[in-house]
Amino acid sequence: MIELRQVSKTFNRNTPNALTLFSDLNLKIEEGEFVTLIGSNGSGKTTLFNLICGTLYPDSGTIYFDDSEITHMAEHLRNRSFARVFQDPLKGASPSLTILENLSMANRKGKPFDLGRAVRREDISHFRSLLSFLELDLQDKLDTPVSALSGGQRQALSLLMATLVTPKLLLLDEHTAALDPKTSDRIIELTSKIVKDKGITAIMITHNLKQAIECGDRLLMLHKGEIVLDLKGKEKAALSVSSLIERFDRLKITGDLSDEMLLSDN
Amino acid sequence: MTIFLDAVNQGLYYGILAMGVVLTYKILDFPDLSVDSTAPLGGVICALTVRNLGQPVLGLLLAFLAGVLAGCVTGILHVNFKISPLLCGIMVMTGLYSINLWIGNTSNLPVFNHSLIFNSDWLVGGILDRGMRTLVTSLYQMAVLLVLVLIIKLVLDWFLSTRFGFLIRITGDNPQLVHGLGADIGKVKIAALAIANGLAALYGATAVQYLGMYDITMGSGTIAAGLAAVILGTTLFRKLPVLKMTGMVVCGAVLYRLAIALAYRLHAPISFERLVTVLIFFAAIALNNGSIKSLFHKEASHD
Repeated sequence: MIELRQVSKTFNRNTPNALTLFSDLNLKIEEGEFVTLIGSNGSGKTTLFNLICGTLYPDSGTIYFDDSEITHMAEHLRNRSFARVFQDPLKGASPSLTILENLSMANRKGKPFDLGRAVRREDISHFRSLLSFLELDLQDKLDTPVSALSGGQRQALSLLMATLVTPKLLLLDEHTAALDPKTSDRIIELTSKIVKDKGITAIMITHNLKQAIECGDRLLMLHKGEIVLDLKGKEKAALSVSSLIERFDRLKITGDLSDEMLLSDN
Repeated sequence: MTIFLDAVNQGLYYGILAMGVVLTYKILDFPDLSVDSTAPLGGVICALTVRNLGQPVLGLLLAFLAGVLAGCVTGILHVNFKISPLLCGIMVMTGLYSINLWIGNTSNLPVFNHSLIFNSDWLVGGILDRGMRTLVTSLYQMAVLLVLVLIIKLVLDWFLSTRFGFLIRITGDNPQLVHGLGADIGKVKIAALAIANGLAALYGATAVQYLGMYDITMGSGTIAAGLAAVILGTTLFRKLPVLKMTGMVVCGAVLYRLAIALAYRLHAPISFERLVTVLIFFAAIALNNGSIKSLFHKEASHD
């Protein structure tokens, strides 16, 4: 599905502030896997997403997607198959456009944006049924600008837009971190359902250890640019928050864990 | 009376400029200074077409195309060479000044003796009363301008309602989403700048035909006038969404020219046009963001 082979990335190269984040990183995600990715701040989670998406290019190494090399492919071309939901609910939709307009555009993803009419009335009933599935009372607000929505509503809409045209790979970049716990749970519930129903390959970054354990079928932990934990199947199913913290102890990296990570084990 | 009719007419062709400026400044979020030179570029192309070929409508079309090309240059500088919007605008504005001089081979070209879209001799030929003649001429010019502006407004409204038009709106709103939709944001920016500069050039061409004269200095201050129209229009008419952004800025442009005419009427010296322009858009911004209100509010609370 997606494979990184010996990928290296150094920031501020050739300066005294050079910071090598990844050196010879190898990672393979199989088709249909739902991976949760944890790691303290600065461990390279978001950089990993940026490399996969093409926001950043690696200094060396190769990235493969469905057996074809995409290491230097432009970001917007990759995004025809990939989708990403960001932590910031403002990033997923266009605030001055209405929900209907945003969904209409998301529905064209991967196809040319030509001089055809952007909003087609015949799509409305389809969009309305999708919005009622979110259970956030958005189905009657199709003509409301996104700027008038709450953070949770926006993030649910972002998720819906990202998966409207089923992506081959879905990257969730701490997409519930800016939300209150109740809304966060609802978005996670929706995420799991959408990913499962559509059979999307997904990687989800989270700081919430409980979410990381409960969601998905594979768990990765990144630390200083290295994958220090990779569990799936029974091993992952047997995990609990306390056993996960214990494992960190065994890896003797507890001292490096950020408070944020330890605090969010509820 | 004629002064104000003339101001409305001028406002209408400034409206063409304002529709271009609103596309870059407001919708794309790209403050584009190149219009200061693309307007006279349109002017000189149109003046040459009218003088050499006697084709006023072709003059407008060629001017638009020249503006589109200049806009592409601004866009390519920004997208492919990663130069900031402000610097791209300054580079094109400065470089194009020389090109305008080179194309025209001189700094001014009179066109009033040639065939123009505003020629109304066929209509007013039989009218003997001078005042009446001027009035009918002004009204005829207004009709021509209204048709021209309306066509542009409707085409632009249609364009902005297409999928590509929406991409331009999203580019100004949330560039990240354009990438997310799998679209090339660079192409979107270049296309929007091309259209906006095409409109600025069309404004220049229309102005030349209206005034009967091309002059290289007509360009300086174009962006300020365009912004004044955009800010006035989008501030005063935002409660009238039926006008759409395009209609709002055309109304803003007419109001702007009326305000300038009023200033002359109140015996402001001709040289104060630029100062009046700045005062108008300062007033529109300050009224819009509530800073004037809060200024008075503070003083009241101090008392």
